[in-house]
Amino acid sequence: MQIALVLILLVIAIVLFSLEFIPLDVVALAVLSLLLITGTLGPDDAFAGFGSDTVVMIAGLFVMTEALVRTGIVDTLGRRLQRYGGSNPIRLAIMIMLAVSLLSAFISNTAATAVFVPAVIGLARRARMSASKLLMPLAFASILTSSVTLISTSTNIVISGLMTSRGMAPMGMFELAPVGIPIAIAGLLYMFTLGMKLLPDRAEENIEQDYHLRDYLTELIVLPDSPLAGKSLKESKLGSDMDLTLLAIVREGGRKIVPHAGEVLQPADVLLVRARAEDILRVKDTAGLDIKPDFKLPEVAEGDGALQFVEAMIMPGSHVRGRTLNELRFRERFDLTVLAINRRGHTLHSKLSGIPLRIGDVVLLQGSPEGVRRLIAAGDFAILSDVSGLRQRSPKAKYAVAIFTVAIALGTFKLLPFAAAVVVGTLVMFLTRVITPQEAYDAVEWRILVLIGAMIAFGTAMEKTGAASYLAQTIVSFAGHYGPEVILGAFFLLTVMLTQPMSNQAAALVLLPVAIETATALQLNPRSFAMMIAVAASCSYLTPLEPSCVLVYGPGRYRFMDFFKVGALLTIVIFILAMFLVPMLWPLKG
Amino acid sequence: MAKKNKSKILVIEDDEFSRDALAHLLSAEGYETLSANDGESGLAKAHDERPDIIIVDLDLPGINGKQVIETIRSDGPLCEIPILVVTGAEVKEAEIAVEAGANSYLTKPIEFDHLTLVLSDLNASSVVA
Repeated sequence: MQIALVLILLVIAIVLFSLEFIPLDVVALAVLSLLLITGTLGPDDAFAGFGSDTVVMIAGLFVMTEALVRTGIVDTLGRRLQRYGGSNPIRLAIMIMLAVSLLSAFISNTAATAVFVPAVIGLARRARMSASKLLMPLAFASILTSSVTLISTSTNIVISGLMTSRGMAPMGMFELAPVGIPIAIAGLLYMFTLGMKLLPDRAEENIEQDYHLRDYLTELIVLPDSPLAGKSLKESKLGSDMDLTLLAIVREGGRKIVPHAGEVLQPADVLLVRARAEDILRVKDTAGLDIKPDFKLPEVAEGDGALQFVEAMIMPGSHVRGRTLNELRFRERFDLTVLAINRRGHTLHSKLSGIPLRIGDVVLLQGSPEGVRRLIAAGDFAILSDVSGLRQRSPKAKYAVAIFTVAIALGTFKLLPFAAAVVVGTLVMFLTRVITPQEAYDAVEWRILVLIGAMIAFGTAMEKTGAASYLAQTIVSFAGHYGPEVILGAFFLLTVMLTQPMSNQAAALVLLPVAIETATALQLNPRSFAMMIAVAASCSYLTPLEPSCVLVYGPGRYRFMDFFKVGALLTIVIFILAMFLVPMLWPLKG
Repeated sequence: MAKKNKSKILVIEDDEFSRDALAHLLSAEGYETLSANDGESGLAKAHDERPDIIIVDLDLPGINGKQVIETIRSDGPLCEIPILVVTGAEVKEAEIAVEAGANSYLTKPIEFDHLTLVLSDLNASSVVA
């Protein structure tokens, strides 16, 4: 009876997960509630998942990843690559894909992809290629290394947790790597050859706006005590580390000189610079440089969280047309400071405060939210976007990397249980103010945690009621005589099918108990099945529903079928590799 | 605000800072700009694109600035193109370049006002020629 109930719930859950008109986490909570109401599970069993080290570890990793992204370290890596990749777009594309796959072997796929999406769009634009040719490879590259380490994806952690609860040893940090690395290599090769040909070629519109790729003109001043003073331009690393294009140096007396590598910076030099919004905001955290003070607020509210950064465009019919920033007295009227100007299709190179404004010019503004409201009310400007989030706290980047590395090392070398290492790492990040607790709580994807917590309970119910072994018996009686490899392969395909509509974690949580029971019934090694499911659960290339695919779906102007076209062959490649490698590494008869 | 003189300028310069800045500043002044980062690719571009003016750094890797000038001056279709030399070295070096056939020189740091002045001179002479 209870078995029937659980199986009915399973079918309903799969249908609801697939239809997606109710959010995944809500479906999972409904399943949990029904298990409680029907008395299938007691509260202790039902809620055990939420307190499991699996959930705690995933939550901690959300926080640590956010810290790495926020401090700009991931982003810095991206711009370094762009420098070293030089001007050859194909070489650069390859380097970016390699970097993303390497990165996402340790942090979440979504975070790694998100960082590189703007860089890849910029790259495509410079190389005059469609972004659609590069964005899907980017997303796929991030997913391809999901089976390299335990922490590549939360699905691996979930599976490891489930394995421990079934009396198996947890998944080692690099246990999957012998399968995962060949898959990643084969997958990347496929993407750069056949995949590239199958990808659609679609042009994009307005993409610059969405990803803040607009080039602004701004003026920076070398402060009197600046560590940059006395350094040559080459030593200053203005170009390589900060991604600024230096257009001219304005020296006392208004002499404008053309910069060259050997030119030595002097205090009070004004640097006329072209850069993107985020790079300009980064200057605010750079020692010895500041955005030129003649239209900057005198140290008001600096460093205050209330400071807002927005991009605003001058609207047709605006009164400011033809007037300069000097004349407009922006600061007094709105309590806002203009940091930079962008004029589409034109290159500006004169003093910002003296440039007569035109309709369509975009300005980067800094000020209080109140000032921004007043500006909107005045009607001359339209706010395009709030870019406050682009400002990063780079000085803490080294701490963030060090803490993350140490925490992962502690877990890897079993000096601490992994979840404990992650919790301690999070604490140290709080103590060193790499990330504030509030930012950390905002970074946790509660939806995923609720989903995992609830589905762990469902897995327990499948096992306790005997539903899992019932399903396993059914599989054995129908397919038992086909031999272990066929059954292993069937679980791969079943997992891939289920992960398309369901989340990877939920699919793994539903199938793993069945797979383990099946293996036990056939006297096969349950570990081979667990590893196979781990590999298969991350093999989600057929639809754009995986979070990192969602990120590129819009900007690449893809259609649903594009993913199927490119992903189907890739899935087959991975299937063949996994069928060969998994039984070799974890012998079926162990 | 930019003057609409459509002259094409080729900048041969290995210093990334100078090359980027010159390309930007000159295009803001209304020139069409091309750039090359060494003598070899500079000469190739000069052949393909037939610029109206060539700006060349004296101190280049591989084929140096002086050799670039000599090659251009001995090359039939290119020999009339005005050449402006920029150099971080001694004035004496620049004078050798002028002897080799450069029309004018500027020493680094280049003042932008000087540069535009010299360019409009060269531009006028190239139009006459």
